[in-house]
Amino acid sequence: MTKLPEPIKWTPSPVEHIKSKSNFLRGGIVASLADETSGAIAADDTQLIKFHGSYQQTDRDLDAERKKQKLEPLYSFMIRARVPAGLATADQWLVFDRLADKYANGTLKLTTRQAFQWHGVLKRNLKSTLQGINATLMDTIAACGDVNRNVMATSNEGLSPLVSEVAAFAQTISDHLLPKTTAYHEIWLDKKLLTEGKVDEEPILGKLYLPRKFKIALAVPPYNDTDVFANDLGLIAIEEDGKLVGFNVAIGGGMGMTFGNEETYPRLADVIGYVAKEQALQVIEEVVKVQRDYGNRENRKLSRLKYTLDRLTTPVFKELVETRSGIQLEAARPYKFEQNGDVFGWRKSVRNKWFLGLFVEHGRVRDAGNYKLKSALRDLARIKVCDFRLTGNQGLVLGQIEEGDKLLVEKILHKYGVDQEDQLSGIRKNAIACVALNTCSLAFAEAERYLPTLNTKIEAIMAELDLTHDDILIRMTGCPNGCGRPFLGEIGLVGRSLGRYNLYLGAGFAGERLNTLYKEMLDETAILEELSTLLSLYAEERESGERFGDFVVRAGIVAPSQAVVSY
Amino acid sequence: MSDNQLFKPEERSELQRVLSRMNREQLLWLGGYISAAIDFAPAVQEHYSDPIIEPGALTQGSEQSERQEAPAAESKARSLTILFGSHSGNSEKTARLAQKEAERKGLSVKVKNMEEYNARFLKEEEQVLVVVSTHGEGEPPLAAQELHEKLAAGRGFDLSGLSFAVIALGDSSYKHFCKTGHDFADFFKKLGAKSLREVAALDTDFENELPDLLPAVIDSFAGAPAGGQSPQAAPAAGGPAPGAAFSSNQPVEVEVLERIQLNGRGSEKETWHLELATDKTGLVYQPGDALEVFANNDPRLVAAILAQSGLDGTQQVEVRGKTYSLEEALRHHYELTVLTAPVVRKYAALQPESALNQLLEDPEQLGAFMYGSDVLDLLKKHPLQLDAEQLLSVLRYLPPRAYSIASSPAEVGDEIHLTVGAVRYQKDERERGGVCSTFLADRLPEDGRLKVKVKPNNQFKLPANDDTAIIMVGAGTGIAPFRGFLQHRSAHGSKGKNWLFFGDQHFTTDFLYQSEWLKYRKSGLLTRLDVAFSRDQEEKRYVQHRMKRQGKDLFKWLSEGAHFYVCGDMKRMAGDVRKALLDILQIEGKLSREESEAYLARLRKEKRYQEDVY
Repeated sequence: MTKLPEPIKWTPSPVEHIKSKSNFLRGGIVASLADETSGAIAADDTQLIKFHGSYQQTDRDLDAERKKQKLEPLYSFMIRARVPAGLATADQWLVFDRLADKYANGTLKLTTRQAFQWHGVLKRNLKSTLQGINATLMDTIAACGDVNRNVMATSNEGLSPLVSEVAAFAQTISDHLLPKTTAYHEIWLDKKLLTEGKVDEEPILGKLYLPRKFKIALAVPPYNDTDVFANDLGLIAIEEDGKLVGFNVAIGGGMGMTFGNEETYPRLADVIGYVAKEQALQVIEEVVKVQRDYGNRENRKLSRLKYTLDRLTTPVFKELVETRSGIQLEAARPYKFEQNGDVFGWRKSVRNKWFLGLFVEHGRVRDAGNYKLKSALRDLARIKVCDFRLTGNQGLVLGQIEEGDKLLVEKILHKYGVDQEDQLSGIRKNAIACVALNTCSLAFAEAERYLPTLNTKIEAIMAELDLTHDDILIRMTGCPNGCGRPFLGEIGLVGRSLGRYNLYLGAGFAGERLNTLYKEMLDETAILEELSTLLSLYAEERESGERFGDFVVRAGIVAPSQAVVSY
Repeated sequence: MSDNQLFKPEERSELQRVLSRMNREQLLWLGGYISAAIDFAPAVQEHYSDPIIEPGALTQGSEQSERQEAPAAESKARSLTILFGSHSGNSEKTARLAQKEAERKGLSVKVKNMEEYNARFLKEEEQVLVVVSTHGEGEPPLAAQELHEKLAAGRGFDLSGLSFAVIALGDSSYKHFCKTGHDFADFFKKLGAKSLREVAALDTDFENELPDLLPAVIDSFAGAPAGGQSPQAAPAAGGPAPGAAFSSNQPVEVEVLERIQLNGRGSEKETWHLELATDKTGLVYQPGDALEVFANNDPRLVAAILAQSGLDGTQQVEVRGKTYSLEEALRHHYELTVLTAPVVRKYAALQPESALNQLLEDPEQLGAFMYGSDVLDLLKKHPLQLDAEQLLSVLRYLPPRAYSIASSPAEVGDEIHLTVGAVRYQKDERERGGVCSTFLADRLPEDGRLKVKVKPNNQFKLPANDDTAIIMVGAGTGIAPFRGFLQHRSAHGSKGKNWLFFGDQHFTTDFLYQSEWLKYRKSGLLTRLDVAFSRDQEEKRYVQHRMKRQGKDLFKWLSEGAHFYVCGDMKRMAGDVRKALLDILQIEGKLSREESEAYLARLRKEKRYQEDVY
């Protein structure tokens, strides 16, 4: 056995300094909240508040206008609730719905990581909103920041008998890796948990927490609706005789890249072996700790596990995990993913409960015209006929429905104009868009506010080609950071500047192959022209059952990009 | 005691030398000046017995020999004390002009600011002319408050030896037009003084009235020749006529450089920031001064009035000696957006049968009728066939609107900045607006030029000492002068601490000049910044609540000599701020109610408590 590398002594980045002097994530947040003269918090605190589940943002539509008006930018906060496996009760939903109306912009955003987001919460309402969330026994700790983020898992129990156990394990992982600091309770919940003379400790994450965000997802084959390979750590459920026995472990996935920085790139995780479910938590903890100790703390653009992995090499990283945990991974077990999109419609679980997969365009829960999704879901939550399960594709599953309540659920959905399933095109059903403008500070271009319109235009093209009901994954993000996992779209559109996008093509339909840059800086006309040409070719030349992403690769329109590798 | 004991020989000869060179008017003025100085001089037990001016001193030195024939030089001139209570300076100006007129007519005149006048001296006075403005809803101006209170209480005053007249300044668009002037007249009468004439109630266009009014008023006093000017009273060659003091402050044209809506989207407020270029206009101002803006009426309102009255807008009419079309006259020269009692009265006089006449009997109903109404309402509700001349005879001239200046020349150079709240409301299903604020918001002339004039406000000025701390309390557009103050202090590198309280409706949309305050706080110029937004939470929260929350520190600042400034809405804010301050003095200073009021009165006297309220 070769000698394993020692951790590098980094020159700490500014954010590392802020974490270091923050006294376990307290910083100056309390004072920042008390300052009534600004809607913002102090600059250092904007880094720390992420760990508490919130980002400071501005309404970018108004930035220039307000500057002229001698007003500061319209600061507000995005709040993200951590929802392991995306499972929420009807009572929780009701509270979240009310918080959206009372303190946020009146909508809920279901994220690509199965979390709830509220947007537009003013500083003075932050504490009340967080207290409201916590009162439901859900919280926002570590929903953002350099920590283990929301743990994802397939949530639709109608899909597999393994789902409930896998989802429960997601909760276990989440609890295990949660920051132990009492700062959150002190600042937001007015609870002093530290007794006199005691200080906080972080046995797993460390005083400086992780070098960068850390993402974990679990999937139950053949459904890869959580896009496990796009995560720092992916766990693929392995069954024997209909029972969960363990997981294939995949490490080093991550979407984010920076335009113009060659050192950055999206990457899919490598499968490094199999671990029995009893030992899985230990292995997971060790992967986190290796990244904690070896991750880059100097340049945050190169801090994600994927870069650590490529620097150390996958075998070395794997060996570090095995040596430090004392657990040898077995060879990866066979598995097969068929799709990474959501499954819509009714499914019955092994326990004879019904699950309804519901389309929520870009995860935005709101009432719009005759389509009153928010009202419908509020009514369903009130009569408590179901629970609410967020999917990894910004979708929603209404769960645990009794056979006898199915009709009632359908009636309520119908009443509010939500029964649109069969009218949806294959492109719309499979579309993902991140929030982007007007609140995300990273966005170069529109995404959620624009993709529905673009899709209408693409639908017209597809209708002419008789492709309306063909599923094609389209994903749009306002920047290359990757919240909407754009590099896994068969059609990926990544914002470059207002109205202009890079067009990526050729991802796999099950999230196992990245797409490839096809054309840069396209405006809408150019996007539609390109897609019109490509879809015509597809309609004419595709083989039976051939997916669009596979077709463009086979036809040589783009070279195949990185695909999942097994070690 | 001989004067020889009071003055050293060299002082005596110096005095004689100076006095012998003076003409009669100069000596009269000096008499007033000296008697005023006596009021404030330390008490002296002895009085000089001999006249300082030796007989013949006047004739010996004076080349203006015609003056020596003045009877007043031999028999003692009758005395007149002019008491002014001014807020914006108009009463003071009027008082000064009255002084000139009275001196011209041989009276021995003293001019006193009520603020510095001890009420006890009243019973010593022979004749008094009161010149006082009325503020808001019938309030005396700050400077007149103390005297007003003392006379209202009236204890221990016997004014039976006193004759008086009152010139009251006001704005007839307010319900209690010239009330303070009437108050003083009532107080004097009640205390036994003799009223020489009806209270002269002047409206916003008072400057037009003064040339006729002042001689008439002065003539009512004993010692002034009644009925026309005496030979002695003829103005000295080239001397200024009454009203001339205003001619040096004619409106000038300025260019609008910038106009920005300060309220963010979704606000219920509409506040405009204007930047005006003053280069080559000769306009001079200091932070705390106001700017009068000459507005035009909304042409739509003018058209509606013409339509209602059936008059041809193109016909020629004469306004103040110049000829205009009726439309132009209405648009530029007459007040249309507010209804005042004199207007209603004059209009009613044209139609004796009208119900308007009953309305005039009942102040309550009249007030209700006029509230939020304009000339069009009057014409619509009480239609009358009248010609252009009649219509104009009913109306009052359009007065300029004054806005506290929001800049300091030390910072902005040849610019004046204004902060203007647009007044808009609906009544009887018609949209209405304040004439000037909507003029600035909607109807700026295409060439972007405005007619303006500076209105100095000596009652609202930064401390003379740059090191003195200041506390500024402003709500809404009341923030304006404080922007000027801080600009001034920033440009001068003043070391004095600065504390700003600001209040408005909503934090996100109505925090006027927010980014500038934050910048000043960051730079250290603004030591403290406290804000209150009334409609961001269930309970209403105002600046006075924020003051009280910081009561301890606020008291400390005051104890250390800080000056305190309030600017904003009188009805809704100034009183509450004053109450909060009294509460703070009682709680933090452990003062009784009376002591806290005395403390505040002292601050006022020392010019450490200044208000600019409207």
